Amino acid sequence: MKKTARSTSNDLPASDVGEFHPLVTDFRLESYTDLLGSHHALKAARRISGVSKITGLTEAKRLIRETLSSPAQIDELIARLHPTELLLLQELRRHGGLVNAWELFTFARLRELPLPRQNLSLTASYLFKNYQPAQWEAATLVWSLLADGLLFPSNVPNPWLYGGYSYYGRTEWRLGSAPPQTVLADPRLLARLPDDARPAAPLPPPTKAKATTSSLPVTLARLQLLEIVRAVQSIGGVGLTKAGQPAKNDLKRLLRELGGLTEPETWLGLAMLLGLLIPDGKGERLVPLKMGVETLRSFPTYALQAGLDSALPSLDTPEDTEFEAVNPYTVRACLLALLNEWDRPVRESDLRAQLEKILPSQVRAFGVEMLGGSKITAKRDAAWKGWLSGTLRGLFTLLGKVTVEGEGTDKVIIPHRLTLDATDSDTPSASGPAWVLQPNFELLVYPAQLTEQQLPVLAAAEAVRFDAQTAVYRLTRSSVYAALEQGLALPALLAGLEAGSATPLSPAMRRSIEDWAARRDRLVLHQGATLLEYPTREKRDAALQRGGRAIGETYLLLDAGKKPPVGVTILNYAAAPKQVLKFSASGEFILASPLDLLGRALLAGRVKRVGGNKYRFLPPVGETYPSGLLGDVEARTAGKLPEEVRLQLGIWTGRTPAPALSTVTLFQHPQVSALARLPRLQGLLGTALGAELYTVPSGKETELHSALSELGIQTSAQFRTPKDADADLKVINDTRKKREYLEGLIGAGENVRLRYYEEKRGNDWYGTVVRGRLRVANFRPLKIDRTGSTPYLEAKFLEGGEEERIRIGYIVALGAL
Amino acid sequence: SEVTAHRPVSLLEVQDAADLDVLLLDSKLAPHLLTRLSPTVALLAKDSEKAVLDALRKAGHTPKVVET
Repeated sequence: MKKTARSTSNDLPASDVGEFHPLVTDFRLESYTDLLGSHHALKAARRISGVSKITGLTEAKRLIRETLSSPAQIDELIARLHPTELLLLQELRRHGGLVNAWELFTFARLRELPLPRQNLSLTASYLFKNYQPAQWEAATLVWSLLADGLLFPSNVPNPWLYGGYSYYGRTEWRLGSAPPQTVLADPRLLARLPDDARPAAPLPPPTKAKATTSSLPVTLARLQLLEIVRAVQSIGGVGLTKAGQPAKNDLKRLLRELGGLTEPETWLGLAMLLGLLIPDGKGERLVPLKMGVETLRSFPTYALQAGLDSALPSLDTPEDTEFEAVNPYTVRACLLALLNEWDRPVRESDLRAQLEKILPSQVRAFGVEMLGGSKITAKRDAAWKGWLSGTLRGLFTLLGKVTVEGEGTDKVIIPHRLTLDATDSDTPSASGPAWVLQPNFELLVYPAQLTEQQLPVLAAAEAVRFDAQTAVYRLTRSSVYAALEQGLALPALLAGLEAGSATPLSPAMRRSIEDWAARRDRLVLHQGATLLEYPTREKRDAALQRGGRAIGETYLLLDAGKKPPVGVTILNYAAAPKQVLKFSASGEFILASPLDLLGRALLAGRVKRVGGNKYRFLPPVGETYPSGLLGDVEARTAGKLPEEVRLQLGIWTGRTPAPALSTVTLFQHPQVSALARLPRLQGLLGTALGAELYTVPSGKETELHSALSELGIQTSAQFRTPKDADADLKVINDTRKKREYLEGLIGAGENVRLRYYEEKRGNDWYGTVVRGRLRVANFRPLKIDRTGSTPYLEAKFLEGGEEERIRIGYIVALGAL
Repeated sequence: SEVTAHRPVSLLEVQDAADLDVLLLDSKLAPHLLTRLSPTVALLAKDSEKAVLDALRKAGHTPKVVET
């Protein structure tokens, strides 16, 4: 990104606009002063405009706008920048105006740039309305530019802010689609920065290892991402939990499908981060984004590596947990930035030593859970080394970022960093075979030879394994089916397989693939079809001359993309149907006008005529009715569906369980649960139906009778169904109405039976009150306590005499005694 | 008009009528197949496409999905 001349116009010159990230191109600092808050906006305005006395937010906004719209004033601002600020902004511009802030941090620390001057107290708590500057080592490198509006964060809060005293008033926001922890700057400022050369960074001691510009690791990463997408497609998407995480059962199915990938969960996370897998319209399933997959196939290798780099710090690794890493994201981001800076082989020990210099001690925190003692520092140091070693050999190798070579003290990390020039020479030649077809339906793939056009063909096979130089795929019935469903035509698949192979497609393999495709044609699901219905077969047959296919006696299936002829009546099933069913209270119905096709099909065989034009639903024979029948009938019903029909259809469709009816023996006693615990009565009492009522298992009645007699307890057949039976209790949901009901009882001097939850103090930090045990008891209500926001009933427990406070909101049901 | 266009509707079409006979006996599928429009074509209940596809694939079929 070289600039040769400065514009004198107020707006950005067209050539400059194209150099910036799209989010940066549209960014204007004065539009974000509300997010800064008054104090912060005033500080930024003073710094940017050079005006020391600014009275309010409106003036601050105006001064920022005027300064950044004036090339001359921007040049004055640039002249006032601290050398470190200038270098950081120039580095930001090299990244298109948007960069992970840890890259800037690494850039400055590696070069040991002095901290910018800043006149803001560390205790000032007005940055982005409520925050103080972060106080960890060298945080000033970034926050001082944020404080003056020279940089702007993609998200608040972030590591450069401290919000300890602003917990209750803290603001949180994210800037559009910008990745977290990135920063940007006003493009009008960036566009006028001088074109100084990038200051050189100290280099690591040389090694004997050779640098590599091979695109093979990134190609392998591309194939593995495509494999994840294929597998997700193959299982019909991955269900999501309410929290948006992949559901466990679907994840297990997916992992079974992904036998060829090592660390499939990492690839899944990466595919999600890169937007290749997105939630469907309802947010219920994770599905491939078709456009994303096409982009992944066609993206230049160097650009793909940039995408992998941007996602890499955010991926969880087993090492993070194993070595108790506190800030794994940050350390990975700085490690990545350092590898990109050096771009040459480096001894692992030198890399670690440099990282230790760059990373603030507060950030490089590993093994935090380890107990104290004299050797704790050594243990934590070992945890840090273990984490770094594991990360380099794990995630960074997996994603094709580095290769680790050598043993012992000679271990060398070889970064893979591609440039546009490097990958140009790396483009595979179309002459070499991309794979070898083997008789067992396997393809031995040479990733280095794969062309973009061959990737859709390869999507018809599932990966078996990936090696350093090759990969093995296998054609299966389901993988070929999935590819055909994605739009790959059978002739293109057969021709593509043969064209890419060093060996011909054997007749047996060809025949199998053709058989699989033919099996697919045996069952066709037409979605979104238009069906024309004619009054007679003759008229339908006559219409066939204009296209379409005959279905049954009177239907015609329109060809894809064809519109119904002008003048036909159109019934749109995406809209609510006509309400033509009129039910009587007894459950019979008449048709006020003809039913639509789906309605007719729904009722066919499921209703009987009961005289005149009246119909009644029939119970199903054997299987249940379609689960959507109740909803479909309701949608076509004028007025309300009678309760009887709703109940019938609910049971017949399996939406509600069938009622249970059986002869049972009941056992009632106020202390039945205590009786049930007696060893002598073990197994003789069944299900608890209430606080006093149990069932007796069938056939155990005599045994129970004898056991009770042995205890000297006589039974009677008289069940208490007194006034205090719980069935009589009123269920009132509204707390205000419950209170009014209780006030009425207090006024009338009546006692009350309550079913309510006791209050229970939670185990959390704040001792939050939650619902406890459900209790049923009789009380004399005394008064309602409305002093707080939560109303309570103060009442005397009739059995014990003690006074209790009962939260009215926790009363489930109540009734006068 | 004496002609009615029903849309959008979903249909399941088989090559061999005997296949549809078998599918209609499948307890997972039958509730979604509202009616047989012809020996080889069944009309699907509204919004049941996914359930039908899942049931077919689970049963080892490889149905072709056509957007028309």
